[in-house]
Amino acid sequence: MIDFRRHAGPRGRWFLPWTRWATPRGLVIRAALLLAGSLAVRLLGWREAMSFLSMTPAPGLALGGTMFRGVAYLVLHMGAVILAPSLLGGAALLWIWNRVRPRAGDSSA
Amino acid sequence: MKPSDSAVPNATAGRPRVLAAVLCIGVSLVAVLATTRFCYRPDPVDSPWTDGVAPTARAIVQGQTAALATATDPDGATARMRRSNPEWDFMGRTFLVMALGEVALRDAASAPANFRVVDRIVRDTLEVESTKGPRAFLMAYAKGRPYRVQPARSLFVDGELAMMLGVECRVARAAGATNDPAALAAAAGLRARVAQIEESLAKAGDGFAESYPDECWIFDHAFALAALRLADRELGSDHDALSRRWLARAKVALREPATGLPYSAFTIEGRPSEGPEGSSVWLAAHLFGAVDPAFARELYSKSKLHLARGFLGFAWSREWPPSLRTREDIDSGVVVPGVDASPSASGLVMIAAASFGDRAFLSELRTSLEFAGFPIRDGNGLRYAASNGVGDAVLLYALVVGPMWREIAAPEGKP
Repeated sequence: MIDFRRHAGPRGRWFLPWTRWATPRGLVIRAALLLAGSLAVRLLGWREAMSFLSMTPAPGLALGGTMFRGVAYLVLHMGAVILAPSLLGGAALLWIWNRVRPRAGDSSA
Repeated sequence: MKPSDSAVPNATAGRPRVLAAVLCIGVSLVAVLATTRFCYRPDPVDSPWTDGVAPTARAIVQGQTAALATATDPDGATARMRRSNPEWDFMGRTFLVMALGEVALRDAASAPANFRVVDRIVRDTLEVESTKGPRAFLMAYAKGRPYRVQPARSLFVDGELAMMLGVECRVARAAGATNDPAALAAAAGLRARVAQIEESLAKAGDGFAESYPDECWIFDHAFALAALRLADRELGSDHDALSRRWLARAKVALREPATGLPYSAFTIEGRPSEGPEGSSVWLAAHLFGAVDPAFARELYSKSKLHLARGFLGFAWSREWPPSLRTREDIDSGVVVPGVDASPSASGLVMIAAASFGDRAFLSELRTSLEFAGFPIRDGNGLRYAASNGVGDAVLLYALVVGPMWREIAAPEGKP
């Protein structure tokens, strides 16, 4: 289990792990969320909504929900494909960085 | 995990930590971007240069013919496509027929079955034309004002129907079914359609033939000339002089001065209404290859210079040259911001790359397609979520173009 309080920033509120992103664990959590989001929209069948790309951008055409689902899928899928591996790789590099370069006030090494 | 994550940051540690994190993510991002292409690059065997039919092409054929088998359009895909643009329904048929013609020549065993499918598509298309009129395949503005040349004809419809009929004749030969009533009907239909194109071009005189009221397209003229060439092969006619005259006029009148590319749309007199567009010039380059290979290759090279873009093993096409960018429309599709990638131009460029033997470029284009086209493989074969019926048919044709096209473009040798 992730103890969010352990990640809390100076103000100590429960959602503050979101502000404390620049740690290996913070990056891994964000990568996991992107992957989970991508999986969720895929399970919802929103992949099909990518067809909005092949529809006309002419003014007045109501793509509405199709476009919303398509954009959500696109963002989360690209996030999962490009950003999540980058975050995981960044987490690994940061972990190594913290091991070899311990800093005052940061006991990560 | 280390206790670092639990440590409460202080002001002096926070900034270096954030900088270190940004640096690490940046390095990782570069590595991911540089290697992503390897996950999406197509197998070299899965290309138009393979013997037989590429596996991806087979999967798309399965998907497209499965859709044809259900005449009721159960998921409404064709209806949705027609609502967006009726042209796409028509063009989807054309590209599928051309692709099936190529498949029939690549895989002789498939020729009889492909002949039946092609005949079914052609008959259905002719029936729609005869019952609803040729404007059933045109966008609504075709009804907004009268054609200047009467009786009204659309070179868009006549050119592509002639191509379909010509391909049916060729597939009938491949299937050994030239005496089949369907093949004889196709030959008669081709003769009539060729006569119609001749008449439209003749009425245009020193001008150009309309696809929409006072709106002529390089795309449609290229289709018409290529269809005439195919008809020459199948019927023994000779339109070389007509094609040469048209090309000589177009090379001068339709040349956009800044790029040397042809205007996409123009009036009967040749006054430009749309500048060079990727969704027109790539296919025009391919089709002109049947009638003037040197000009076609020059057009391909210029188009590549002004429209093709690539990055880290991915490639795509712009819809407009940078200096001539205009607003998005039905032809460009939704242009991807930042990279200016046009879905339609990036699809049609694959046909050109395949027919001009540009293997590296086609591989990079397909890498982009697999990455951003969102392929869906299921029991009905393969289709692309970011595409539609016509997009899938274009890709299919790009993957199989070869034997039939080389035959059409061959400088000599009537059947």
